[in-house]
This record gives sequence, C-alpha cells and structure tokens, in this order.
Amino acid sequence: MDVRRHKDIIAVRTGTGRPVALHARNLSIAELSDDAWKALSPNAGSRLGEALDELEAWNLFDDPETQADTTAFGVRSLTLNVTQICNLHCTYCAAGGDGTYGDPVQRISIEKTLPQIEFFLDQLKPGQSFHIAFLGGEPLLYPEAVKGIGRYVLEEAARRDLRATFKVTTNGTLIGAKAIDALTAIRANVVVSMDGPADLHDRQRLTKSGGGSFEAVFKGLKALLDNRQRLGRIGVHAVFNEKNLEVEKAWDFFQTLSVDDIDFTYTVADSDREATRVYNEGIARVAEKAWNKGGEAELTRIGSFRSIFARLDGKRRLENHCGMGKTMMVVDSHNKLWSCPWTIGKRDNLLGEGADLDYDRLEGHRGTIIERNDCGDCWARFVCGGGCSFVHGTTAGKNALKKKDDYCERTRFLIAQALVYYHRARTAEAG
Amino acid sequence: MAKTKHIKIIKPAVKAGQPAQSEMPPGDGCIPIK
Repeated sequence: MDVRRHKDIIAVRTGTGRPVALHARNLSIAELSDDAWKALSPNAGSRLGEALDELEAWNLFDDPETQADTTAFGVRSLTLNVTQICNLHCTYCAAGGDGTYGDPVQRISIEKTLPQIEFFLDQLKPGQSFHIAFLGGEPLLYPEAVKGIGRYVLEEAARRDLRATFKVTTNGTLIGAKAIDALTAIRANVVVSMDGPADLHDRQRLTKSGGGSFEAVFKGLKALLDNRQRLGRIGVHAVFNEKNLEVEKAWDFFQTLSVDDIDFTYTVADSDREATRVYNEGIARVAEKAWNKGGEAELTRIGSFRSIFARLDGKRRLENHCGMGKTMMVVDSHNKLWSCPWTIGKRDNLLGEGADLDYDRLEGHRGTIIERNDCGDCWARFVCGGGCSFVHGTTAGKNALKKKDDYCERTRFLIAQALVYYHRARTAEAG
Repeated sequence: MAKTKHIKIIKPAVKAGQPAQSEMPPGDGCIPIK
C-alpha cells in the first residue's frame, strides 16, 4: 500500500487499483486520476500543475454538509463492574492482572447502585438513550446483579420514555442457566473475549492454574448462539500482541462462527515496530479475505471497519475517540466513578462516588480528545477522534501526554485500508 | 465542490448530515489490557 499526502488530502493506492483519496476535514472520499496521483509524489514535474491545482482547490474546500460529531455533555453510558474478581488469569489483563484492579470485590451492592443509576437517569430527557456495559472482573460471576440492575433500568426507561441498551463483556466460561437467564432478561448484546482457535486462545487466556480456557469459552459461545433469538448482538473480541500476531488465523476461525461482530484489539504495552508491521499485514490479508468472501457485509462484521464506514457515510468529524468524562463514566464495585475502565484506582481519575460528582474534574473533560492527545494535523484525526486517552497517557489531563506512535501507526494503517474498501463498496467495483 | 477532471467524489451511502451509524456510545466496556 502506497500512501501520499497533500495537506489535508491523503491518497492511498494498492497494487493496480485506482488511487483513493480522503479529505481529512470533510471526510469525503474521491477517486483520483493517474496525474493527480503522480502530482502527490515529491518528484512531481511541473506538467502536473493542473492536477495539483485541483488537489489544492479540494484541500481548501470546506464542505458545508460535513459536521462535527459534537459530544453533548451528559452521561448516557455507564460501564459497570458488578464484580472485581475473575475466574481467569489472562496474561495481558490490566485490571490488576486478575480482574481485581488490586482491590478484589466479590459483589457490587445493588442497593447502592440503583439510586446511583437513578441519578443519571434523572438527567436524561424523554427519547434519549441510556446504555450500560457490564464489565468486571467477570460480570457473569454475579449474574443476579446483571439481571437485577438491568431489569430496573428497563422498567425506569419504559416509565421515562428512554431507550435502554446493554452490553455484557464476558470471558464466556460461565454461560450456564443463570447467565442465560440474566442475559436474555435484558436482551443483552454479548461480547465474548476470545483470541482465536484453541492454540491461539490458550496462549494468553489462561485459567488460574495456568490451563487453557478455550474449551469452556467455545462451549459458552455455542450456548449463547443457541439462545440468539432472545439476545441482542453476539460478538467475539480478540487481543493481539507480540505473543499472538496471527490475525489471519484468528479471523479464519471467527468467520466460521455465526457471530454478528468480530473485534480486534492490540495490547497497550507492546510497542515493537516489527510486531506492528506483522499485525498490519495480517489486518490487510483479513480485509481482503473478508471482502472476497462477502463484500461489505462480511468486511463490516469486523467492528473497526464498520465504524470507519459509518463515519465516512455519516460525514461527521469525530472529535472524541470515546465519551470518557463526557457521555460515559465507569462505576467500580464500590460505586466510585472513574473516567475510564483502565484507570480504576488511579486517584487523579476519580470523578465521584455514588451520586456525588467532582464537577471541577469533569470540567477538565470539556475539551476534545483530539486536542487532549495533541493530534495536530494528523490526516486521520477526524476518523479516529484522537485515539485512546489511556494509551496516550491523558486520561487525567493533557500534561501527562506520551504519544504512542505505534498505536497511531496501526490506526492510520487500518483507516487507509478501510478507504480502499469503502471506495470499492461505494462504486461499481462493489458489484 | 465543482466538478473536476482529476478528482471524482464518491457519494456516501447515507445522506450527509445524518448521524453516523454508531450502534453504541463510544468507550463503553473497553477491556483493560496492558
């Protein structure tokens, strides 16, 4: 893949395909002529002046149809730790290494949690959405809380004319009758953490005794799929790093499962450039295979491609990679409020407790994450929204910014790949 | 933008100005991995 740039125009060409360009501010996609592609080369000759003039005119153009995806202040999503314990011991767990965040809590207090949620529901207007992501620890160690809290929110949402949705992120090893009852009671979207087939999965997703967990997870996923009529979307989420860069092998396995969503994440601590190169190559092969198998529908089963396609279709500039401290907060098992699931226990990220919010600290989240992470004129800024603040060290403020270049490199590579397929999907090549 | 010889704008699938099709508020349920 060859990438060229002129100010806010980025162009990508793969093999013999047409050059595809993105206008970074307008989020417009265009097909370029061969002369325009050549004009983007540092060695372009003067005879390409016309093409370069057109590129410059496009660069200066501000499309009135493109808008900022401004994130209105107000919490509409809570990530809720109903437990801070886990039955697995995954090698890359950043929740204290064992799901506890260094502070094991068996069970959240439902009695304390319901009034806390009521406080946030009170801020919403009829017609708005409210979302709870059950996390942990392993949330299905306490399915009664998932069901009890979820049912409360559903009842309140019906009374207040709100739309309530739920997501449960689970390791998939505890999908018994109680778990199915809890998940179906709230028609949960379910994400199962799974790194691929057994030999990949069992490298890092281990039981406490060091054994593999694949068999139990696969059985759990099957139980979820058997109940899919009573659930929301069912997805798998895989983690990659130096110890597992086999993205293609993972996808080969996932695409045989009848899941709705496939998500890939790369670990934070690993910043090996060669590993990033191998991972990116894997992503490129996966994209091609997915496209060849089922075009846009199959490619956008992969969450990162789906969100980029949606961003380009919607033509809304993303200024906040996530809703941290604006629309989203994390509730730990002590009912303390945090900006991000990764920062639980880090005092300078504490946003409140119960219904008492630290409004001074919340003011610090008013600015955009693009500003916070100092994205400057990066061409990908309005698609990625500034990236993950935890990765770049800015969850508590801009002062601690430490840009992770390899993260940005993976992000830009993914977006560049997506541009090529977006062009295929929206032109005759789709057929 | 006016029609040009070297740049052919591709139309998005939905009408511009509509909200992006994000199915959930971003940032929820991020799994802490080191």
